[in-house]
Amino acid sequence: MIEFKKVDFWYGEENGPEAKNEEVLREVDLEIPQGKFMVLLGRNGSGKSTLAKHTNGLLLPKSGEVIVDGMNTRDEGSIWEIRRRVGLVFQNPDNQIIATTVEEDVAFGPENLGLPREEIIARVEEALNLVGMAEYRDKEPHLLSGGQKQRVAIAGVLAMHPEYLILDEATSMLDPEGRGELMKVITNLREKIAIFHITHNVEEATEADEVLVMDEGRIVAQGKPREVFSQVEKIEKWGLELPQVTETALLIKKQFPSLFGVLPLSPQELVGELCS
Amino acid sequence: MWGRSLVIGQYVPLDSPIHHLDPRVKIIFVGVSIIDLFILQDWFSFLWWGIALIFLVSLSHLSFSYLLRSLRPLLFLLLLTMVLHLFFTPGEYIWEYGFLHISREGISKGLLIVVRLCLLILVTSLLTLTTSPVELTDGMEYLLSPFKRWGFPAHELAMMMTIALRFIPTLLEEADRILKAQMARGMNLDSGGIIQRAKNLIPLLVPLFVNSFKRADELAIAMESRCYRGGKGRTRLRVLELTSSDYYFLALSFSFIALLSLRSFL
Amino acid sequence: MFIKLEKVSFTYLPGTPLAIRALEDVDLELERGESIGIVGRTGCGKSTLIQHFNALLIPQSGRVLVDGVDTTGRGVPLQEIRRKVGLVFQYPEDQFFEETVFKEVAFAPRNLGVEGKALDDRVRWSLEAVGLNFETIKDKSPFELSGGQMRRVAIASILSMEPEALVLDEPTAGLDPEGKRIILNQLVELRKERGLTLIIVSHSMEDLARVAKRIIIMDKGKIKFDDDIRQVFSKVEWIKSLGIFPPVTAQVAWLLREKGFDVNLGVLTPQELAEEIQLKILERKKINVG
Repeated sequence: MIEFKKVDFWYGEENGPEAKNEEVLREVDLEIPQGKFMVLLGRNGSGKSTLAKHTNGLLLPKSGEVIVDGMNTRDEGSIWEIRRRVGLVFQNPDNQIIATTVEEDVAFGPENLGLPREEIIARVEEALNLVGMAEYRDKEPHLLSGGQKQRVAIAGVLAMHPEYLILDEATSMLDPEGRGELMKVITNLREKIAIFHITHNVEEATEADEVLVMDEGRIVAQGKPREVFSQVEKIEKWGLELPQVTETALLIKKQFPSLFGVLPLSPQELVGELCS
Repeated sequence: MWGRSLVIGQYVPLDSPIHHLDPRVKIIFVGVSIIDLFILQDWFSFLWWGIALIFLVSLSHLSFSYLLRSLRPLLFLLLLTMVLHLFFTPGEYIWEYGFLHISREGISKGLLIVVRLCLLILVTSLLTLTTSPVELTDGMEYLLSPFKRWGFPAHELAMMMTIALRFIPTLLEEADRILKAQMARGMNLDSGGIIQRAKNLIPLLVPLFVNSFKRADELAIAMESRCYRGGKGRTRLRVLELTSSDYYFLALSFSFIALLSLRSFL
Repeated sequence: MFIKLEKVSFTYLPGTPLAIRALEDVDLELERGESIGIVGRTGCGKSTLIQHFNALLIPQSGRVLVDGVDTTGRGVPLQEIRRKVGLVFQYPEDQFFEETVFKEVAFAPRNLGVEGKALDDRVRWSLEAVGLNFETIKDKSPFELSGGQMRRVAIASILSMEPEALVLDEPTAGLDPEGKRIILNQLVELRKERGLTLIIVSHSMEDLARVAKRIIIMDKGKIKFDDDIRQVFSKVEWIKSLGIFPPVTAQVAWLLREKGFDVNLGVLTPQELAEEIQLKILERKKINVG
């Protein structure tokens, strides 16, 4: 479990949370349990990335604590174990791959852990298979598409056998094909590892176990996808959009109030309700 | 647009015995050869070196014309050296015109030095043409590791080189994009004098620098997130292992060099 | 005829082992005042195509006519062409280099010889045309702004050339829903107020549904489809095979069709889809009652 306990954060030394227009965190209480697929939504500047960087101690709270499986991120002795358990994948596909071939980049993490060579080879193979990039092991990174690069980045993290996979806006710079590839990987990994997917694309949240919304540094909503998207009046205030299917259903409901007692989140659900 | 492999530096990927040699062996060979070529002073030795080079080149499956092309950038230097030695070496004059004179010794010395330079360049080119930049980096890291105990940052240097190599195609693509973007904003590269052209570099270089710093920052964060903390305790996926071919090559080349050098001392 | 391509073919690095044929025999006619969306999977040639509109690239065969001027000819007035057809690249904030927003937006007109008060006026109305407050933003460093603001300043820095056409490559890339909404609305406004010809390359059919009337689909360097946007989704399977993802609304319409609801496939927004569905429900009720 990753626990955020009353976490406050702001950039810069002086000032309180009122510092300029930088991202901040305000009194964040959060639990990321093992095995769940959670999605964090929020506009740009709401604090999502800042929160992500707290999960593995890249940033430390100004007040409050972040505890990962019993270890405090402030504790310098634990930080490397924390970073092994909490794998972070970032937004820019290019700026995470450092080696000259896919295979070597995925090996980077295990190499840093000082694992024996046979172990490294086995882990690289396993990770590449989990993301479907095994045939690309000898390829140079600049020849890959955005979606492929992000899959390699995920493999690089998986090779360290983490407990939690934090995706910090990992789909934001991808084309629809790339986003589809990543969502497929997430679906495959769902039961095996805790996934915390940060995005501003609401369509990626419809399948989650739990959805959270951040606004101005606070967590302002938490619950099952349907519960969160039912708070229609607030969605725009939070800088988000409803899934188009849900929006359509709400419009139809105005004229036919008896329909859509349960709000649809996918085209199939919408069609299903209409045909009955 | 850049969706193909970019050949960096001079490396020509081929399947030859020389290509398969361990990079450390090749680096050491080149190092020792350079020293030897400076020690040797006579035509006989250089003739044998020429033969050895021909032998190595044929083993490497490279074409001779391709190898000779590596001399092209230095043609001017070679010519200059030749001329200097021709005209300024004292000795038995065979041609005079006013205060200009050419001596027999001048011709001989000039030619010798040019041949030496050529051999040096060709041996080094053989190394870079048959060894990929990644292999070279690995080889250098291994060879320099013993100096770590005296504080020499062998691992860090190798890491820097690897990352630089990884990003060369990306940076080239980015430079092209930025150039086009500024041209779309009416920037005209061809006009203006020297000062204007220097000013024109600002809209090209500043974005590249800014993006590079941002990139470096994000890379550092990504590396730390994967538990990178320097070279201590790191293991490697890719290891260099010497094979019997490497040993044969070392034995043969060192014998060759030793014999030639001894001969010139006796 | 504003921009015309006649049998244009283009190859990168011709004659080398790395040569790539990016455009193959492309014919295209774009009129003034149109709003056009160009779609296709990554690598189809969209970016190559748009760089021919402002003579950044010259075709090896065929010709490109921009407002009557053949870009393959001699003595082509490049600056004039690039002024007329403004091109905004993907992630245009990557091209920032000036110390202030004012200077950044002034760069392009300055290159064209505009100075003094005329320059000030241009910068002012460009920034306001993208919905930014001139006074508050002009002295800020472009690197200090938020993502959405940077994007708008970058677009303003092309608008300041007073182009007649605006070509944008993925103008909403990397922006959050709010940011996307703002940019798309600004573009619609610009077209309305200034009669700007809009050409937008995008992967998002949802975005294009808000802005474009005509859609051009490219695949492997060729134009596969060139028609009104409402005609695109009559063949969902074919569209998907070209790597295009129809908007969610069209997907729903398609599914409804399969179930016997005779819904119009050319629905581009939730509003249109909802209206269509409401109509069909009423029809069904009438049939049931009557």
